[in-house]
Amino acid sequence: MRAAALVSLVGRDLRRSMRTFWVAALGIAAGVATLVFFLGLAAGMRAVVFGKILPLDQVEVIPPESSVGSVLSMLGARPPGIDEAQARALRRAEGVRLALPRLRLAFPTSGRGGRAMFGRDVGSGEIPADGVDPTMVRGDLRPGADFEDPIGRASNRPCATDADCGAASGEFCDLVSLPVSGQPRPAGHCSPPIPAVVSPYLVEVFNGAIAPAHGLPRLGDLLLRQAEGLILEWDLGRAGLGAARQGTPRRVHAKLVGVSPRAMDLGVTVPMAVARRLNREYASEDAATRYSSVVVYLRDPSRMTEVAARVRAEGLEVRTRGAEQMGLLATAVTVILSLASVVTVLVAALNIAHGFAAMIAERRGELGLLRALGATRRDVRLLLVLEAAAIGAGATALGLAAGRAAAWGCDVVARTRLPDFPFKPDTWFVFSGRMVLGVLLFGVAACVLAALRPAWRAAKTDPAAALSGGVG
Amino acid sequence: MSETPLPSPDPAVTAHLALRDVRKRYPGGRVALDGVSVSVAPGELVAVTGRSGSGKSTLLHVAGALDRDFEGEVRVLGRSLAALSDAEAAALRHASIGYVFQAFHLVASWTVRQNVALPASFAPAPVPDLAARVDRWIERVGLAGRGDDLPTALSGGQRQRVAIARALLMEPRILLCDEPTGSLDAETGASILGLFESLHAERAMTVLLVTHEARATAIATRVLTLDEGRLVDDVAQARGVA
Repeated sequence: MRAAALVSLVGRDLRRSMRTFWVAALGIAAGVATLVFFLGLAAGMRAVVFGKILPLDQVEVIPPESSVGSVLSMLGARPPGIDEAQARALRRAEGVRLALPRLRLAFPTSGRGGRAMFGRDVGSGEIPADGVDPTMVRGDLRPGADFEDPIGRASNRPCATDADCGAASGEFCDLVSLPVSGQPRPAGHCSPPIPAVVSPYLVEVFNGAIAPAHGLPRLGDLLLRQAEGLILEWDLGRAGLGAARQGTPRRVHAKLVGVSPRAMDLGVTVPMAVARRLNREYASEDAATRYSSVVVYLRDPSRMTEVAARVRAEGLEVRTRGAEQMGLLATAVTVILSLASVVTVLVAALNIAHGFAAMIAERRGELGLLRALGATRRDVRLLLVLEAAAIGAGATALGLAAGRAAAWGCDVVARTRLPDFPFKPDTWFVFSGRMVLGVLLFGVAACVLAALRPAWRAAKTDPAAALSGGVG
Repeated sequence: MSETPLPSPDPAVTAHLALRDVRKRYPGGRVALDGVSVSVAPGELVAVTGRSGSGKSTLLHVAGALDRDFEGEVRVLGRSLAALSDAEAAALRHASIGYVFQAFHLVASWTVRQNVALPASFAPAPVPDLAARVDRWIERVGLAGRGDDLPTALSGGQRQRVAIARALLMEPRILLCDEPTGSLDAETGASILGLFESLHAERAMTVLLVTHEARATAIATRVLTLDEGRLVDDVAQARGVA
């Protein structure tokens, strides 16, 4: 039978079949709609969780965490850390795309700033900070900004206030000690601010939790550009919970020069040279030379377990921040929800099978006639299977459209009704072409499989016996 | 209809239908045909008569390659049915045999034109000028202007005319009719028989007409009588003698 004739017959039969199959087709559509909805939601959640919150392609390598080490460190023994040789070995390890050493400031700091932007200073009693190699964040800096230790460029002119340094100089008045209320302001010297970057994670936390709680504006793209350049008064060696073991607490200035995914999550990141210099001043030589962690970026996220095992074999630890467990959980939830949808589709496919069996009994005489007029058994099979495929394709397309519409509706509700929170996405769904194609094939395949047995039986219809009955 | 060339008969084939010692037993043991041997020459109009259950329709099904589960030998246009594959038998039915049934077997939701054109779906190549050919056959069977009607809008006689047009669309050499007037009233049945008679005369087809009506045997050139699956009488006659 020619393809064009087959398609024409299928098209003509479909109009009749829909009277028999519309309920089953709606079942297929409903199953497909829920399936694509859940798959899209799962993909969307994975994109947010693993794209922004818990990137699956990176692990943080840390020194061995043991209570003994901490106690020894408190007693003045060498604190745990990763030395340069170990960092170099990590960079060369198989499966590692990039290894980024980090040096945490090993002493307390606090700070405040943002008066020009928010109308009042916003501060924190504890500001964690670390240092990274400038090359790691260079691509994330605002135009014209650099990420080097500014100490060599300082004029060191004596000053009492920032105004003494002159706005045009770009310098601020760093104080040699922290001001105490009721006492004369300490002496200062003019120095460029320390460049600092923050993470998108911190911006999200600010927008989702801090800004609403304090009545501050969210940092959208525009405000964020303004925020780059924000000056922070940064008190070194003293914070809300205590003071550094050595060094004199003093006040310096830091300048926000960019937002970088390679900055520390909750804190500020400064040039490695600054971190070394300040750790030397307020902590110890070891704290200035031994890295607190190395962030390892993987070539292939699926090899995380393998890389983690290699790291542990080197006597180091891996902090995955629960990404692996979250990944497993997300996969499990996706599988369960998808299975429910698949069952819906399969039940609908069973309806299709029953529908086809009934239709074939009803059209027995007609099938006999087709055989009498020249149809082969194969033609009859093809006719019915293609009809099932067409019903499946139509129902699946309807289901896909319904699933996408439901997703769009949920996005609208989420945008307009849900309060802002960190990492609130613009859309909760991701529909890839591959997913849509896979669901389409699944819907069609379910209908085709359902029709196979009835089609085979129909093809075996004895035309003589079938034509002994009658239609028309 | 004269512009469509008639299939040229194979000079080597002396019988369009040849059955030799054909036996057909249905599941359950009932014998429908019991050693039937008969040969139908090209251009004959043969009526097959007999009581109900005598094997008339079974003979037509076997001769028309609709039922190939039998003993003995059946040759259609010189080709043994036993040697044909399913596809070859389907091709033979498509190209060489037309069928008309008592129950019409029209697709109720298709128009007259779509019903008549149905056999063209199984042609190995597109049928040239199919629409014109369909319209010509609709006109020839007396249904001009009814091509867009549904079968449900037609009378029983008109539905049988649609079935006849469908049977003849591919211009078969053999036309097999199973009680074509069985569900029609006398007047309508007579007009259908008249149509068969004129078509046979103008197309020189071989026609096997299963009937239990005397008026139908009147148009035949030969009458076969079956009784309990056996051929008990085979009489050549001039038309109009029954």
